[in-house]
Amino acid sequence: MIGYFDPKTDRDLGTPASLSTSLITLEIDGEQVQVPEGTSVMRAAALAGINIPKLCATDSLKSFGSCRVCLVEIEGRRGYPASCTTPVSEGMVVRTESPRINKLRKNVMELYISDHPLDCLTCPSNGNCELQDMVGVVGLREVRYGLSVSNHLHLPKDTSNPYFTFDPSKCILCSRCVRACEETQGTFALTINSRGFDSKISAGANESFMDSECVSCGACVQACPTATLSENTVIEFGQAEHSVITTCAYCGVGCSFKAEMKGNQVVNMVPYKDGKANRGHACVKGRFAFGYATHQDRITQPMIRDRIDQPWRTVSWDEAFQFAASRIRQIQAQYGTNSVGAITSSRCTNEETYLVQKLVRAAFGNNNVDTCARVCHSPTGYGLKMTLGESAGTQDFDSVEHTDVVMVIGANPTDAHPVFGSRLKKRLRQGARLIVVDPRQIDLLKGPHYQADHHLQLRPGTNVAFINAMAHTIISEGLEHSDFIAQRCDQAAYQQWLSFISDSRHSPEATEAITGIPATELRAAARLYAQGGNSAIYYGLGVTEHSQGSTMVTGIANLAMLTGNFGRPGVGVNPLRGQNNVQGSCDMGSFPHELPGYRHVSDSSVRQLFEQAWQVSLADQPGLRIPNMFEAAIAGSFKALYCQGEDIAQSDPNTQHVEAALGSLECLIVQDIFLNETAKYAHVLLPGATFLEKNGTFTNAERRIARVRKAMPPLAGKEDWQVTQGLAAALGYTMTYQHPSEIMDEIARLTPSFQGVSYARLDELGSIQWPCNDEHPLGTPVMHEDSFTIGQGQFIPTEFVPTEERVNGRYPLLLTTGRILSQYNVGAQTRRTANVAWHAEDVLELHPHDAEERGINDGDWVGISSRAGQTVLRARVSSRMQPGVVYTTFHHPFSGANVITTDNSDWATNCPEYKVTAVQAEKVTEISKWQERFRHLDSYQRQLLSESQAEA
Amino acid sequence: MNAEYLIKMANQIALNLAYEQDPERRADMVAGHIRKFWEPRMIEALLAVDPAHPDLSPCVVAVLTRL
Repeated sequence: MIGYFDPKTDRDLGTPASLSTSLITLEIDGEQVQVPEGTSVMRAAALAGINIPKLCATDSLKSFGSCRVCLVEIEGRRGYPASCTTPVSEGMVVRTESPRINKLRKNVMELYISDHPLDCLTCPSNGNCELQDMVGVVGLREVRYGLSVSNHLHLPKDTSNPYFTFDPSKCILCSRCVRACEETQGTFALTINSRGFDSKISAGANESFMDSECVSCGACVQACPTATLSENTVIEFGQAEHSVITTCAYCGVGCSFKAEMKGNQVVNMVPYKDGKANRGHACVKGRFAFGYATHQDRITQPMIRDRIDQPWRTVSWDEAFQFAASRIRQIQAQYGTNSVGAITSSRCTNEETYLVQKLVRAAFGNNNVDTCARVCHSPTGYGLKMTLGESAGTQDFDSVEHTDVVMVIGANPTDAHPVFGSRLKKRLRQGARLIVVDPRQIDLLKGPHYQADHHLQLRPGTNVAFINAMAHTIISEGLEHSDFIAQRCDQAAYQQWLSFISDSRHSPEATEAITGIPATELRAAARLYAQGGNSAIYYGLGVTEHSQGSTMVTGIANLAMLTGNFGRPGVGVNPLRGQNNVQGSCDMGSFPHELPGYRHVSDSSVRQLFEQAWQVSLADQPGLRIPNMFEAAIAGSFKALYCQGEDIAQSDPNTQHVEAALGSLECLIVQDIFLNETAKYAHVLLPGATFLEKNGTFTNAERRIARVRKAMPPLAGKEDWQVTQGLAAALGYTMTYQHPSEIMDEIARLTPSFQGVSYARLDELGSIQWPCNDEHPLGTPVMHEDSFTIGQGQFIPTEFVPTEERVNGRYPLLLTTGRILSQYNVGAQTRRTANVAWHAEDVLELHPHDAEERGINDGDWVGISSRAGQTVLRARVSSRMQPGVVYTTFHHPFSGANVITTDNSDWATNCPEYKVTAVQAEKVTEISKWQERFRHLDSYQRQLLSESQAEA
Repeated sequence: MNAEYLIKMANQIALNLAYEQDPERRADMVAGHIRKFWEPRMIEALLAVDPAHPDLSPCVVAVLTRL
C-alpha cells in the first residue's frame, strides 16, 4: 500500500523567516498579528492567512522588491511600499487590498502580460504558474498594449541541458533564478545581461546552460514562477497529480524530496522545503537523475544458474529462494557454519540492512556480515568510538550556520555532498573562515565572494603527520582550551597524549618534509582553528581511506577536544558520509563484530537480548570483514556470499583479487536492481527495488533518520526486505513482518539509541536524529553536550606510520581516487541517466609537468600501472593536481580504476587505502589486458542475460 | 588463510600502537585489538605461523602467546 504523508507546511510565505526572538505586534487588514522582529509585512500577512500577490518573492530567497505586485498601504506612510521589502514595526497598520492597490497591481500585471505569450492552455506550467495565478488574483481582464510593439516572444529556447529547457520568451525578469543560483546554490552562473528592455537572463557570459558554469542543481528551475525554466519531464508528461515525501537515495546528505507523481510515474523530484538536511535544495543527481528506476536494464525476475558460464534461468521467487537456501545449507554442511556470509547494502533502508544482518546471525548462524562502510567510513566508527564513545558525527547540518572556522579535510563537498557544499558556501559568503586540507585544488577553495584562508596541500598519505603538527602547534603556543580539557576529558589519557604530542618530531617544522606543508602556513592555520571562535571539522574519504584512516579520525577528535570544539552548535567533528544510508547500515549491526547499536558480539548480556528476541543462540566471536571474506574465499574456507545492493567487483580495491575471490565462491547470491559487475559472478540474481518502490528509513551523515516512502510498486513485485524475508524462510528461519514499520519497532526495542523511534513519531516530527530516547525524545541534533558518550573524552596518541605504498623509480607517481558531481559511486544509477552528458568516462588527471615529462597531451590514452595491475584511461592535463600526484574516478566499470588500487588497508578496520597508490603513467595506444578481459566477460554475461530474458 | 596477509595486518596493528612504550602492555593492546576484530580462523591461521618467522615483528611474537 502506498502511504501518503501530509506535509504540515508547504505554503510559500514570500520571504524567509526572521530568527529574532523579540516580537512585534501590528495590524493587517484589521487583524492583530504578532511576528518576530525583522519579519516582512508580506510574511506577517501570510502567517495570518492573507496571501499578498507576489511574483519576485519566494520564502527560499531574500526579498528583492522588483515585481511591484505586492504593494500595500501602510497608515502614516506615503505611497505604496512593497510588502516583501518592508519590515514590520510596532503598531503598524497595514491594508493589503483597496481599489487603488488593485488598480496599481492590475497595471503592473498588464505590462507583464503585454510581453508574455498567451499560450496558457498548452504551456508546461499550466496548473502550476504563479504568473497565471496572479493574473487571476488581480482580475486582469484586458491588455491595452497590442503585440505589434516590440516584445521578447521570438527569443529562441535553450535546450542544451538534458533535464530542463530555458524559454526566455516567458521570462518576467523577476530574478528568482539568478538569486537562487547565488543564494541557494552559490554558483553564480546566472545573470541578467544588458539593461532596460534588452535585459535577458543569461547563463555565464551569454552561453548556453551546458556551456556555462551551471552545475544543473535545478534551483533556478524550482524558483521560476513561470514556464521560463521547466523540467523536460514536466514538459513531456504534464503536472503531477499527487506527491510523496521521501528521502533521496544518493549521497549521505539525505535530502528530503517530494516525488511529484502521476499514477506510478515520477514526473519530477522537488526538494522538500521542510526537509531538515537540505532545506529545500537539491543537486543534479537527486533532483534529476531518477530515470534509472525505470531503465530497460532493470532486473525484474529472479534468476538462477549452476555455474557462471551458463545462461540464466528465469524462475519464480520461491524457486530462487529454495535454490539459494539449499546451496547455502549444502555448503555449510560441507565446509562448516562459517563458510557463508553476507554484505548489507548502504543504499538499502535501515530495516532491510537490519534484516540481512539478522539473517546472517540467526539463519546462517555466524557473524560474517559486513557492509560497504568497510571500504569508506569504518575508520570513522573506530576513531570516534574510541575517543568520544559514539561512532557518528557530532552535529546536524544546520550547525554550520553557527560556525566561524570551517576546516575541510580530505573531502570535496561541492562534488560529493553538493547540497551541504552549497550550505557551506553560503556560510563562507557570510564571513566564516576556511581551511582546506587536500592534495588537490578542490572547487570549494575559492568561490564568488569568499576564498579559503589556507590551503594545506599535503602529500597523499601524510594526514597523521599533519594532524599531529596541528595539535603540537596548539600545545606549544598555549592555545589549548584548558577548562574544557579539565572538565570534559580523562586526565591520565590527556597527560599521556600531551607527552606524546609535545615531542618536537611533531612540530610543523619537523613534519614539513613529510607533508609538504610549509610550517608557517600550518602554524597560521592551527592558530585560526584554535582561536577563530566556533571551529568545525568536516572530513571525507580523504581521511578514512588510508592505512592510518582510524589514526587520523582519532587525531581529528583529539584536536577538537583540545580546543573545546564539542557540545554546541557550530563546532564538532563531522564525517561527510558517502552513501545515503552508510550511517544507518553501521547503526543496524552490519559490522561483523557488532550487534545493532555498536555493541560487541562478545557481550553476553547484549547477545542474550537478541537471542531472546530472535529465538536463536548467537555466535560470540567476530565474523569476517569484506577483505577477509575475499582472502578466505581464495583460501577455500569461504564459499557462499549473499550480497545485497553492493557492487564489490567494481567498488572494492584490487579488482583482480576481488574477481579471483568471487570466482572461488560456490554460491554467490546478488540482490540488485541491475546486472552489476558482481552479478556477472553470481549464481542467484534476486531483483532489487529502488528507493521509489519501497517503504523504510535512511539515516544520513548527521544521524538523521528519515522516511523513505513508496511512490510506485516494486517492478519485480517485492521490496528488498521482503526478499530477505523470503530467503530466510527458505533457510528455515521464519520472519513475519508485514511492513517495515514492524521491523523498526523491533530495532527500537533492541537498540537504546533508537528507543523512541517509530514510524508514527517520524511522521509527527518529519525526521529524528538519534539518539532518540526518554532523555532525548525529540532526538539529538548536537551530541556530547554536557559529557561525552564515553564519559570523559579519551585523548589517544596518534603516531605517524608512513604507508608501505611508496613511490620509487618504477612507480614514481601517487594516484588518488575520488568522485565527481554528476556521477554516484559505481555509477550503476547515474550512468543510466542523462548525467553521462557531464561525465561519459573516467579520466586520469595529471599535472602539466608530469604530462610534459611523459609526452602526454590532453585526451591521449594513458596506461596507469601499479603493483596491483594496469588500466588505460584518457588523460586530462590539469593544474588542479600537484606535481607527482594523479587522480581518477571509478564511476565507469571499464575504466578499471580499482584494477590499480592495492590491498593495503587501514590498520584497525581494513578500510582500503584507495587514496594512495604508487603508479607510473605512460602514453599507450591500446587498452589494457584487464580491459580486454573485462570487455569479453561483460559481453558474454550480457549475452547470457539476454538469452534468459528471451526465454522468459 | 594466507599467512603473509595476516602477518602484515598484525605487524601493522603493532606498529600503530607503538606509542605504548611498555612492551607487555603494548602486546596486550595488540592482542585485545585482534580478539575484538578478527574472526577465529584468522586468529588460528596467525597462531599457526612459526614464531620464528622472519616477518613477524617482536611485538606480534609476544602477541601470539596472548591469543
